Amino acid sequence: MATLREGAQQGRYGEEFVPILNRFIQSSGGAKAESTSYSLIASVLEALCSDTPVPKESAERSLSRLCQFGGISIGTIEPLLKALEPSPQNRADRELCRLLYYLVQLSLGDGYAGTPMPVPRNHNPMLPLPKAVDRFGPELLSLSWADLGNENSRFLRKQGGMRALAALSHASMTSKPDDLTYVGGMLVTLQSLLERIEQLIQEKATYNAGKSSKKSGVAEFKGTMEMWGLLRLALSAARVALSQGGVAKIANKSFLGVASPDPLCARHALAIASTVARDPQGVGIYIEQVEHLLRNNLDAAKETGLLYSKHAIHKPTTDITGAPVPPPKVVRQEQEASLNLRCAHSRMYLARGCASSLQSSFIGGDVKGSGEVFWRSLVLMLICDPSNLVALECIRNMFGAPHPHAENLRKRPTWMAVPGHDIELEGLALARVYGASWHMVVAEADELVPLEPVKPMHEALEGLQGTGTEPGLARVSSDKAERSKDSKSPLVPTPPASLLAHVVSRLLHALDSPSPALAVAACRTSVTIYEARAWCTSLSNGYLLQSKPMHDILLVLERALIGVLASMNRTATEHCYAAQALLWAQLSPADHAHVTPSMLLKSASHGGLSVHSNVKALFADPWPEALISMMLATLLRRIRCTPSMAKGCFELVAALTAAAPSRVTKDQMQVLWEAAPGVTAVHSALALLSSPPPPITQPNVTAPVEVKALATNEEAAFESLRGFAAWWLGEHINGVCGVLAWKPPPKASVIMPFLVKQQQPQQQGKQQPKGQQQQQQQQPQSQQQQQQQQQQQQQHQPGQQPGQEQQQQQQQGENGPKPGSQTETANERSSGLLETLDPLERMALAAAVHAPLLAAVLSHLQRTVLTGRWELGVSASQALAKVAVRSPEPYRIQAYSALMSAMQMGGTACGDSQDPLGLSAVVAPALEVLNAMYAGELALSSHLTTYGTNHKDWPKPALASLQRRHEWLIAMISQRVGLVPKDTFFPLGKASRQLLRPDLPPEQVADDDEPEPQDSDSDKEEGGDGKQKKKKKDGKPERDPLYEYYGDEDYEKAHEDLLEKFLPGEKHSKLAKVNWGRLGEDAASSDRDAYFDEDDVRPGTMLYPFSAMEEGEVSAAAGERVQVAMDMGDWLQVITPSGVQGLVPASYVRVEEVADTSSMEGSTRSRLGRRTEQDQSYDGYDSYEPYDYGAGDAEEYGGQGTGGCWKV
Amino acid sequence: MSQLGRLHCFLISTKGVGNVVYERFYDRLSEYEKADVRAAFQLASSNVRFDGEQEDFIGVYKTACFVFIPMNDMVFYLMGSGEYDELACSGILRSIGFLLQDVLKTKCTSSALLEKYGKMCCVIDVCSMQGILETTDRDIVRKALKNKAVWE
Repeated sequence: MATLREGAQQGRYGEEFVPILNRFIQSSGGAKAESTSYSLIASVLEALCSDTPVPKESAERSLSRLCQFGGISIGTIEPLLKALEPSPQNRADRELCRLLYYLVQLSLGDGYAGTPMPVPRNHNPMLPLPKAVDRFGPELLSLSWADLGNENSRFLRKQGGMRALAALSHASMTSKPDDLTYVGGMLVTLQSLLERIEQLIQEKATYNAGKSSKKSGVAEFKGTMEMWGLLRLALSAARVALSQGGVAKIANKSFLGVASPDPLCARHALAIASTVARDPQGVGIYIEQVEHLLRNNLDAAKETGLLYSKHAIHKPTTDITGAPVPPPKVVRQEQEASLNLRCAHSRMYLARGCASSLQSSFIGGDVKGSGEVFWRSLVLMLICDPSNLVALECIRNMFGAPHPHAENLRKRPTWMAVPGHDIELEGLALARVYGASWHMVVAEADELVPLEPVKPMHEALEGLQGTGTEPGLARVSSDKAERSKDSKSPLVPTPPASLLAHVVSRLLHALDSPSPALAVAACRTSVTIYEARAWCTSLSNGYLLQSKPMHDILLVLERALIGVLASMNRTATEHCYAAQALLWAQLSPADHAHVTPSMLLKSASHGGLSVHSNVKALFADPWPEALISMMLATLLRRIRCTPSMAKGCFELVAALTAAAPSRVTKDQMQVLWEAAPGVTAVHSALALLSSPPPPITQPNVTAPVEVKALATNEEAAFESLRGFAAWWLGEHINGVCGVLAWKPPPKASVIMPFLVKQQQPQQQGKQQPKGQQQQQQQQPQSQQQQQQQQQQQQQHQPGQQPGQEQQQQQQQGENGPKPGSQTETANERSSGLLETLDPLERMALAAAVHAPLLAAVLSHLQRTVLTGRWELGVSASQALAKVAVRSPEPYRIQAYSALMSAMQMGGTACGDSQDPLGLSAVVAPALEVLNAMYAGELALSSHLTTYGTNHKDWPKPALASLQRRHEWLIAMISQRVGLVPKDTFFPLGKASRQLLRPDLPPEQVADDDEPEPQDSDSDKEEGGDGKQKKKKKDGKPERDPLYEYYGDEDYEKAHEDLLEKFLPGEKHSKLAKVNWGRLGEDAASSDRDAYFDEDDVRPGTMLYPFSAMEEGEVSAAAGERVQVAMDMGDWLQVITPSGVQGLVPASYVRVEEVADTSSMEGSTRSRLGRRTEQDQSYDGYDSYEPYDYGAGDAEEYGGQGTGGCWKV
Repeated sequence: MSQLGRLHCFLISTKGVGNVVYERFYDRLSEYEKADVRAAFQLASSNVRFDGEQEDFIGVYKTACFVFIPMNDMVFYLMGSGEYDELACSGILRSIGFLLQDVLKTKCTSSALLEKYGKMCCVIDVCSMQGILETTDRDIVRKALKNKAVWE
C-alpha cells in the first residue's frame, strides 16, 4: 500500500503518475539490496546535472534500475534532459550517456519500456500515460537535440539527438496530429542536412577526381564514414518521423545513399527509394538512379553468383568438393559504383523497387529490353540469395504483390473496418498489376536459367519437364558430373531448370521447413502466385495463360499446400494462407475444390492460440479475428475476380461462420453479400438464417466453465449473425428480386409450375409467335377449333404471352411437335387444375412462381418469427414489415398475414395470453402502418369511382386530403418500418400517382404500366361497381401482369377474401360513400342511393359549432348529431339532421362506433388510421406517444388531420 | 514512412508463469492495451510445447503477427506488421538473442538479464528505433554500447 500511495503522490507538475516496481522485480535477486523508490533512484539524474561527482558504478546501477520502471515520470524529464549536457565529471563516461539517451528515447517518443507496473487507483488504465510532448514545449525539449548543432560533438551524441528529435516528432503526431511544429521542423532540418551532404558528396567526387590514387587514408575514411553516418541518421529519422507526404519531399535525396559503404545507410536509402519506384511519376527517377549501379552489381555477380559479392562475408572458403575457393579479388577502386546490398533487408527493398520498375509504364514488362537489369537481378536473388526473406520477397513482388503496410494496434484497419475498401479504390489497379505480372512471368517461366540454386531442386519436382531432373536429362547430367569429377573441376554443373521450377522448388523447401515463420511466408508467397494467375485469367475473359510444364509444376505446389492445410501440426496462420492459396488456385467452379467447407471448418476451429489451454485441449481453439477477417477478405476478392465462384465461396463463408461466429464481423458479411450475385447472396443469407447452431455452441454437459463460457459467447454471436441475416434479407430482398412496389413488374412472364408439364405436350398448337400467326390461318379447320380453345385459355392467362412465347419456342425446338390430341387433353387437365385450386392457394402459388426467392424469404422469415429466439424474431419481424411495405401484392398481404399471425398466436396456441412471442412492440406499429395503407387504398378506390382518375375532376380539399394522407403514410413508413423512396413510392397505390404527381410525363406513366388518364365520363360510367379495377380504353379491365395468368377476378376475390379474413366487418364501400356537391343533383342522389348504406353510416356529435365558408362545407351547431358518411382525413363528409351533406373538420366531430363492429384490432381502428374512442379504451395504446414529424409536419398533423389521429 | 511496416512490441518473459523481464512497446498504448498484449503472448506460449525441435512459434494479435522463441529459461516475443512479418520477426529475434548472449558474455538467462539490465536495454535500443529496424550487426552494437561509432 505504501508503494501505491507513492504512485499517486504529488509530483512536481501536479498530481502526476510516479511509476513503481512490480512484485517480481522487487523480489528479484538484484533488487533486494537496492532501493525501490522511484524518486530516490531518479535523484541520480539531478546528481549528474550537478558538479558533484557521481561514482560510475553507482550511477550506472541507478540508471539500470530506472530502466526497470515501466515508464518515465513527467517530473523526471527535465533533470534527464539536463543530465545530457556534458559536465566535467561525466564527460568521459560514454556508457552512462548511452543509457541517458535510451531514457530520453523513452520519455520523448511513443511507447514504453521496462516491466509492467501496477497502476494506482487514481489513474485510468484505459488512457495512455502522458508523454513529454504533452507537457513541455520546445524550449526545454530542444536540450535533447542540442548536440546536432554542435560541430564538436561526437557522432553518437549527434545520433542520440537526431533519434530524440525523430521520436519527439513521431510522438507529436500521436498527441496532436494537427500540430506540425515538430514534424515541420524535422522536415526542414532533414532537408538542410541532406542538401549539405549532397554538397559534400559532390565536393568529395571532385576531390577524388583530381587524385591519382583512389585509396583513402584513415582520416579521410573516418570523415567519409561520418558523412555517410549522418546521411543514415537523416534517412532513418525520416522513416520514423515523417508521414508519407513528408518522405516524398526528400525521397529524391535518398538515392545519395543507395551506394553508401554504410550498409545501414544503403538500406534506409533503398527503403525510401522503393516507395519512389511505386510512384508512377517517380519510377523514372528510380530507374535512372539505380539501373546503372545495379548493372555493376550484376557484373560482379558473374563471378560470385551474388549481388553483394564485394562484401560477401558469408561466402564459404571451400566448395562442396572441399577445394579452397580463391579469395575475392581485391578492389582498390572507389566502391560506390554499385549498390550496397550487404544487408538482407536492402535486397528486400531492392526487390520491391525492381518489380515496381518492371511493372511501370517505363518498362512495361520488357524483361529482355529496358528492364533486363531489374529482371536479372530479381531472378538472381530469387534463386541464389541465401536469405529466404529476400527470395520470397522477390517472388511476391515478381508476381505483383502490393507493398506491405503497417497496422495501427489502436485502430481498426481500414480493410477490416470498411471491407472491400482497398478493392474499390485500387482494386482494378491491383488486378491489372497482378494480371500483367503473371503475363510477364509466364513469358519467361519456361526459360531455363543456368544458375546454381541455394538448395538442389526439390524432390517433389523430380521428373517434371523444365526442372532439370527429367529422366533423359538426368542421365546426361550424371555423365557430365562424372566427367567433371574425373577432370577434378571445382564446380559440379547443375542442369538448368526453368524459372518457375526454381520458384516452386524454393517454396517447397520453405514449406518443408520446421520453422512455421518460414512456412507461413512460403504460403503467403503462394497466395500471390495463384492470385496473379486468377486475376490474369479473369482479365483475359477466362483464358488461362499457362503452359503444360507450368501446370505440372504448379500442381506440385498445390499438393504441398493441400498437405499443409490437412496437417494438424501446422499453425492457424499456415492453414489460413494455405487455404487462401488453394482458393485462388481454383480457377472456376467446375474445377476441383481443394478447400472444402468441412476442411475449412475443421481448420478454423483449431490452432488459433487464443483460448485457454484446457479449452483448446477439450473443446476448440478457433482462429482469431484477424485470420477470419483475412480469409473473408480473400473470399471477397475471389468473388470479385470470378463471380461464378460465389456459391462455393459462400459455402466457405458459412464454414467460417460456424467455426468462429464471434470472429466474423457483420460489415464483412454485408460486403460479401453485396459483392455477390443477388440470388447467390440471398441463398447464403437464407442458409445462415436457417442453419442449426454450429458445434462450437454445443459443449459437453460436463465441460468446464471455460468451455461453456466460450460456447455461450459463440452462440450469442451466432444468433446475432442470424439476426443480421434476417435484417439483410428484409432490406435487400426486394431489390434482388426486382419486385418493388414503386417499380413496374418485369415484362417477362412465368409459367405456373403445375402447368409446365402440361404445357410441354401442347406446344405445337399453343400460342405461337406473331410470325407464325399467318401460318396458323392456313391451318385446317380442325385445328382452328383447337386454337379457339387456346385463345380462351390465353385470355384466361394473358400474362403468359410474351415470356411463354419465347420459352415455348425453345421448347418446341427441343421437343418437336406433339400430337394435337394430347394437347387437348393436357389443356383440359390444366384448366381443371386451375379450377380446383382455392383462390388463396392460387394467389400463393402465383406469388411463389413469379418471384420464388421472395416467396421463400417470406416463408423463412415467418418461420423464424415463430420458431426463433426473441431477438431473432424481432429482426425477422422487422424484415417482414419492410418486405410488406416495399412489395406489391400479393407479397404484401402475405407478409401482412405473417405479421398478423405472429400477433394472433395468443388466441390459438397459448390460450388467452396475448402476444406470447412478445413481438407486439415491433409488429403492432408495422401492422398499423399496413392497415393504414390498405385502408387508404380502399378509400382511394372509392374516390376514384366517384371522381375518376383525372386530378382536375377532383375537388381541392379531397386532393389536399389525399396528399396529406400520402405524406403521412410516407412519414409513418419511414419512422416505423424502413426507408422508402419518397418521390417514387406511393403507399396508396399506383392510382394515386396521377393524382398526386400530375406533372409526371405521360410516357413515364406508360413505361410503368400505369393506366392512361381517362375521361371523367368513362370513369363515372365504369366506377359504378365500386371495385378497385383499372379500366382500359377498350373497356376491358387492365390487369396487373403479375396476376394476369390466374385471372383478375379470382385474384381480386382472393384479395377480398384475405382482407375479409384479416379485416372482418369492414367493407370497401363503407368509407367510400361520399357524394360531392360538384356532381349534378341527379347524380348525387343516385350516387347516394348507390353508396350510402344506412348501416354503414356512423353517428357523430359536433363538438364545436362550425360555419361553412367554402363550397362543399356544411354548417353545424355544437352538440348537433350528424351522420358521418365518409372519413376524408382532415375532413369528414357528414349529413346533418336537416339532410344536408357537406364537409366539416374532423376535429370538430366525435365519431361514435356502431355497435356491431368486429372485435379485431384492425377493424376497430379506422381504416385511415384514425383512432376512435373505442380504440383508446381497450387496445393498449394509451401510452403510445405521437411521433415527431418535425416542425412543418407537426404543425400540419397536430390535432387535426390524419396525423393527429393519435391524439384523439 | 513507417507505413511499410512497424515493430510493435518486444517482450522477454520467463517460461511458465510468464513474469515479464523486459518489455518494449513502440506504440502509445494504455495500461489495459499493454496488458492485453501480454495476455495474448502468454496465452500463445502456454498452448505450445517448447521441448520439441521447433525453434520459433508464431501467433496473431489483432492484425499484427508475433513470433516467440524459447531462450533458456525465457521466451522472447516480437510483434510486427507490414514488412516485419513472421519471417522477418523470427530473424530479428534470433539476432537479438545472439547479440544479448554476446554482450552478456554469459548464458542468457533471466537473472543475467536482470543483472545487466542497462546493457540489455541499450542493445534493444540499438537494434530498433521507434519500431523501425536498425542494425543487428555485432560490431556496431558493441561499439554503440560504448557510445562510439563503428569507425571511432
